[in-house]
Amino acid sequence: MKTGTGPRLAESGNIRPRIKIRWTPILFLLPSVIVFAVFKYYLIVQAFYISLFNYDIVYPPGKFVGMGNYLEFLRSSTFWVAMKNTLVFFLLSVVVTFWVPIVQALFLSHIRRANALYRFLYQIPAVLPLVAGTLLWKWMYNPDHGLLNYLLGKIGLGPYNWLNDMAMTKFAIVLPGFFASGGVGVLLYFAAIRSIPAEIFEAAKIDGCGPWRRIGLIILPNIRFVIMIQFIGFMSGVLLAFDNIYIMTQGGPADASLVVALLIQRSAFVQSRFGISSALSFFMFAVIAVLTVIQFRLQREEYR
Amino acid sequence: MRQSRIVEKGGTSLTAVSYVVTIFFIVFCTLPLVWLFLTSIMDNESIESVTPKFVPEVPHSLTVTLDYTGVENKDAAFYEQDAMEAIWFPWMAYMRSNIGEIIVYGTKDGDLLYKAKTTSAQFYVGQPSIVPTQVVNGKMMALKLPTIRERHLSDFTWYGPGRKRAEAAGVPGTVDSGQELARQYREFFASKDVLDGKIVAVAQSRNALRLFDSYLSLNYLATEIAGKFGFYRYFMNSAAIVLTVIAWQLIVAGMGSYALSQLIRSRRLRLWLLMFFLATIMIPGISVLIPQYLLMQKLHLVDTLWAIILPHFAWGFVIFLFKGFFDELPRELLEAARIDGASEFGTYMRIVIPMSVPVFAIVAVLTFIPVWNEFMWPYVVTKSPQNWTFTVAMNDMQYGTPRPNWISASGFISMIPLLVVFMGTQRYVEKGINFTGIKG
Repeated sequence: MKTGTGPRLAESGNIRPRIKIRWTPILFLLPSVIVFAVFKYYLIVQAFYISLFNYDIVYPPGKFVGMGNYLEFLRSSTFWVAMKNTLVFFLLSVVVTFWVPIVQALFLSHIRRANALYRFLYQIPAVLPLVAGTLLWKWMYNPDHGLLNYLLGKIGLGPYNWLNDMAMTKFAIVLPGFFASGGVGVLLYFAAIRSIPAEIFEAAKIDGCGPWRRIGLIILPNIRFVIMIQFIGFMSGVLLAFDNIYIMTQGGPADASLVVALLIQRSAFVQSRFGISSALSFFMFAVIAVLTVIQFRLQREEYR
Repeated sequence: MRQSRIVEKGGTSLTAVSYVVTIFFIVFCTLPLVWLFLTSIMDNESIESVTPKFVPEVPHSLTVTLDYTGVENKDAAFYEQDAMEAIWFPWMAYMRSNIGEIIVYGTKDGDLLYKAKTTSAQFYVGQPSIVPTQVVNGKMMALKLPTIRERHLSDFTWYGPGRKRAEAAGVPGTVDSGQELARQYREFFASKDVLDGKIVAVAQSRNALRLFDSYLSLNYLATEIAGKFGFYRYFMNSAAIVLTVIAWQLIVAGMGSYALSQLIRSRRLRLWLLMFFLATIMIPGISVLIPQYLLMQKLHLVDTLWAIILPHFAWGFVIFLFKGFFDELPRELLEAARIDGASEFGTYMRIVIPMSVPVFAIVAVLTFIPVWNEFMWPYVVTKSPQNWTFTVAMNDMQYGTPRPNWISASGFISMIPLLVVFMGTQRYVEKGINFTGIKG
């Protein structure tokens, strides 16, 4: 981020000293400051406050338990199941979806004719809202009359139980991401590849580095920062994934797809245990905060 | 020979592979969308059959003529009930036969008395309440008739005796197509004594227009719970939320970021404020789910659209985008405007905004996508259907009325706004991506 500015005319060129308060910046900033204070800072402090209580919605805040809620979830086996599932989801997503926009952008950057059209076409699968896409897939997964079992049956595979199969449900939840993983990510990697200076390519060419080898030796090393930044953003995305899992399985079968985000929703709005739910959400905040700081650090380094 | 040496070794193969891979990805990733569209115009029996069909079958259209010659004159309501019986009962019995519409003409002594018509868009919406079982009797229909009228589940036009000649109106006389569905229709009533009119003609044909009835169904669907716009009400809610949030971000966050970037003189204050805004990027929505809900309860906003809108006003990422852009504005120009005596607000309106169209476009798009797609918070905070967004409504649909082609149709429609927005702004988004750095 570039915050530093050069010497400013207004500061150096002003002869009359001005003491009066400048209202414009205050008026410009005030609404934003208020909504951020209320909807971010107040709320996250409140989340921490609630997490210290055995929160009672009727007579708030209820009984003070200190770190009790944190200890309770750390001791519960459900939490560790959710953590393990989150990790598996993360690994599966890396294998199934993370690389897709990178590969798409790599090959897209070698297309000269009608490139803008291809870039647009890459956006189409990604504009389907996640909820709609998830419902569509849930239905294609139907073991009895779903499209997937029918198509796989044609080539001699299956039938599979997909979402009802404990071993398969995580993969089935992640798989639709492959189809929708293009989107803005492709544009981002594409822009990164395009911004590699042409001289580097020329130099490589003169040194006898062919077009295929240039992908591995020039392009990938030059966009590795973008890939890393995206990777961390991707990590937070997977950690926070809720919608698709909730719609597909609600965490089932037998907690095989339960993740922390679902646990938060479940303990708050199904079991009405707001204290423990807040403790879990504050834990999530800590994890995401660390990831975001790393992401920003990397970004600043990239600018240098 | 010389020509070919210009092309680098391996260059041609890379280009060829690039085209193949790109086209493969585009086609392959679009396949689910093709299936989404096909199922939205397919009848449910085909969708749910064990061997799926890929080409939708054009729905059947039945045109029935009932003759009332010899029956004493009654008022319009009598005939309307008779027509409804002639439509809804056999349709229920043959619901699996992909019927698209049933049109009933009532005639008497060669006069056209009425014309009644029900499309599959109306039938499938009304079926659970109008003909929930296979029970066929006139009393039942008399009970249901007010509901049919109120929800416009059938069209009924009354002409009355002596106003219009049946032949002139093109009513099929005694012709009989003898096709399967027409035969079944006659058989259905042969064993039951419910109709007052006599079936003189049943013509069977196909009507391609009825393929798109799932989209029309959305219009009738949920009319009583969500108001007169039917399912589209949910899209309206989503649109209202998205537009309000975008307006706030463009106006308020834009001005705030401008002040942050250009108007604050103290470097320390500027850094503090910047951190104040940017640090909030670390706070994921799920982490404030409970306090946010309790806050909305305190403000008495639970189950309103404002409860969905307000939290979106605080978005550190938007401030980050705006500030990044405003930092690059040429200072000389802004100074020149100030020296000319323009107020800060005037400078912002007349000089800054026209120069910053790309960043405004990018903020609009990057705000649109997550707010339009949002599911969890609206799902948690809304209760009554009239406040649902379409994402909440679609989730509900999978448990309620099991009509797969409605879900497909609403899914297909839900793509369109984003697609249109993207078509209009692709240029800006691509330009803006260079200064956004990270994806939102």
